[in-house]
Amino acid sequence: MYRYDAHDRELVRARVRQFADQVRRRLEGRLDEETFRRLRLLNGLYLQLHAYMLRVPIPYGTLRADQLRTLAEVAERFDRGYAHVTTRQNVQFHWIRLVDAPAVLERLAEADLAPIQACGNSIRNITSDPFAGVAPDEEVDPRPWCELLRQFLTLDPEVHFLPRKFKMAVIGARRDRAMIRAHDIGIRLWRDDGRVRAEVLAGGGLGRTPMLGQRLREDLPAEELLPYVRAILRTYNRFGRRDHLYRSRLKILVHDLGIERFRAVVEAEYAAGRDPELVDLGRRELARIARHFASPAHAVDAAAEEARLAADRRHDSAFDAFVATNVLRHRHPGHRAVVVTLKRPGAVPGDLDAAAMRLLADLAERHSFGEIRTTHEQDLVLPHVRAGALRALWAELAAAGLATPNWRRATDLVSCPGLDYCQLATARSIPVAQELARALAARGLDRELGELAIRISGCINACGQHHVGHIGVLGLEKRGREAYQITVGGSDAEDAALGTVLGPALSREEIVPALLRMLDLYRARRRDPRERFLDFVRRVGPAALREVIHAPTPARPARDPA
Amino acid sequence: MPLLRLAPPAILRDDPWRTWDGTGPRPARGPVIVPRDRLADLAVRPLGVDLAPVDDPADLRPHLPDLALVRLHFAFPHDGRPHSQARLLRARLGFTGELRAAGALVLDLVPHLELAGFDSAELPALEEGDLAILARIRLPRIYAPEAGARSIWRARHAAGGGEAEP
Repeated sequence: MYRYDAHDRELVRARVRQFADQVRRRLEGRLDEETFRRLRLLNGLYLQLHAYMLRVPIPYGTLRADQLRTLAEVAERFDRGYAHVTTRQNVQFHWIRLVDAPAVLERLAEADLAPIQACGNSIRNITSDPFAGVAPDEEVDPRPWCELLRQFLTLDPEVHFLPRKFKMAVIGARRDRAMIRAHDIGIRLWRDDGRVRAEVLAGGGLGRTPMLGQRLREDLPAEELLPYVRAILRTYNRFGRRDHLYRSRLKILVHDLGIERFRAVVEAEYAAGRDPELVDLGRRELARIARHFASPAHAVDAAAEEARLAADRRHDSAFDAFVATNVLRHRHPGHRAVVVTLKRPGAVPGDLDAAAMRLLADLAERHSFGEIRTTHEQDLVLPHVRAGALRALWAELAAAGLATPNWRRATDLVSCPGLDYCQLATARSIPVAQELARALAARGLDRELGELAIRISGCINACGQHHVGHIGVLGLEKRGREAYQITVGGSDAEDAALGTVLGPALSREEIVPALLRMLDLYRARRRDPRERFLDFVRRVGPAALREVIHAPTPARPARDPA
Repeated sequence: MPLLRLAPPAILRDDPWRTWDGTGPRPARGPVIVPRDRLADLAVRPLGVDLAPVDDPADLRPHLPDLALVRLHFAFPHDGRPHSQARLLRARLGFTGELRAAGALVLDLVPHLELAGFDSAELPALEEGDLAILARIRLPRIYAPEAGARSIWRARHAAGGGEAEP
């Protein structure tokens, strides 16, 4: 895992010093709020409904145990004892006082964490596959490339003041576990006869105008990524719209120009601007970074580990159920990756208290080489666990309420903070998530429904990523009341798709029963239990579900046929 | 308007450069900054030019040997376009004269101007105390080689790719 050297530390400390000075001048009334607002956003500080929120990027979703302990300490000393894992693999604190912000940043810097560019119109956290370096199907480990890009795009003046926020994701496998097509730039690294190539996509994004990224290059030699990404960003910085908040994302520029013309502009800039020194330094820096990501020593007696796991599974059905849902194969024999979902039914999706953070840090040190990952599904991963140690790990997780066997099941649902915290929200999303998860759990449906991605957003900005949920719920405001629109058929995987809206929005009271009716219909009509909800929707079409969503209830008379 | 020299920071009360907006009598001598579309009209030296954020610096190519200054305008404080223009002027067009920032600038963005290769900035108000602020909010380095002597990657790999410390 990456550790700062003196150069990294010097850069972050200078940035903390700078922001501390700006906070002090703001508190003394010597810096106006409009100027300060822009500065604080680029330092991860966002004003929500009740307090400041501090967003801490977890670079490409990789966390060290000591970093997780630092986050626990920040939660206790400066917040209300908990933190929130976001859909972009970040961690947020929702109750930070402005006067404390410099001290928080100093504490984070000691653990190689920095909220630089966490908000604002710049390059946000570069996200990646939470199973990087672990997944058996991986062709290229994306983490060193993510770190190379992170450095390249940190505080660089040319990308610090873009027309709008900018999101990137990098993966190194065919399976897309980081939804690269929903990013401004999505990169898939692959291996061609030993050489690393990059498929580069551009112009994806959710929000109020959801679009899937389109391919710019299929097989860019990966060592050209820095100049190529520079060319995309320069094109965007120069020609992206700045006159309208909702027309400023890269996807709009790509859409307005068309992918062919956009590609032509990018390629011309790349050809004219390719700096051999940048390519050479990038190659050397990548080699330096890659040493930080050398695979930990996994030498074990794999057969003995597997035998132990098989025996443990036979003896304990609860453990067996957990392994069936939350444990994944590992590239190293005798090992597994373990998903700790932050989705106990009824809990706030993604919330994690300080005690749980410390426990997970301890468990990571004892069982996973001190590593933890965050996922865009608001879950955590312990990536390198010996098969024979799984049962002991599970027992400790279970005792802390962290062993819910629901990864990628219905109750592993994603939700933005919504109107409970967020200034942009038009409806609450957390209570809907809680009510739905409780209802699903009470009916024992997790197992029955199989793989199902439910995504809930509290406004059109789509932080809950409802467009790419197998089922999406979008919270709106209609005549002063919360209303919820359902989409179906979205996917955030390699078969990425945007969901289809199922008719007009429902009230807060109607939404959960409607979703349950829809799932009942699916269970009754699916071909067999292996047909996922998503496959079912693709087969029968979204229209088949429309009727049941708007089924007449006593409170809502049937509408006249249109 | 007070002028800030960026490295090392200093406030210059007397800007030697005058601006001709293209109307009125033609200036007889330099140093003068003129609109882009009037560059060909003037033989005075030293000569500078104004670029709007939407202008393409490549259009200056035929005039570069005559230019001692290019002034880039920020339409609003967080306008990123002049930063790309600055990079293009320096790295692609080889401009070595003075790069000046003007427009809707605020003091707290000066550290980024410095990293982008600007030499001077016209700020609406400047006090001696601002120099102390600038010293406190300075960003000494970034990674990319475009930052020249202030590139961390250059420093790291200067001595054969070792883990050199600053």
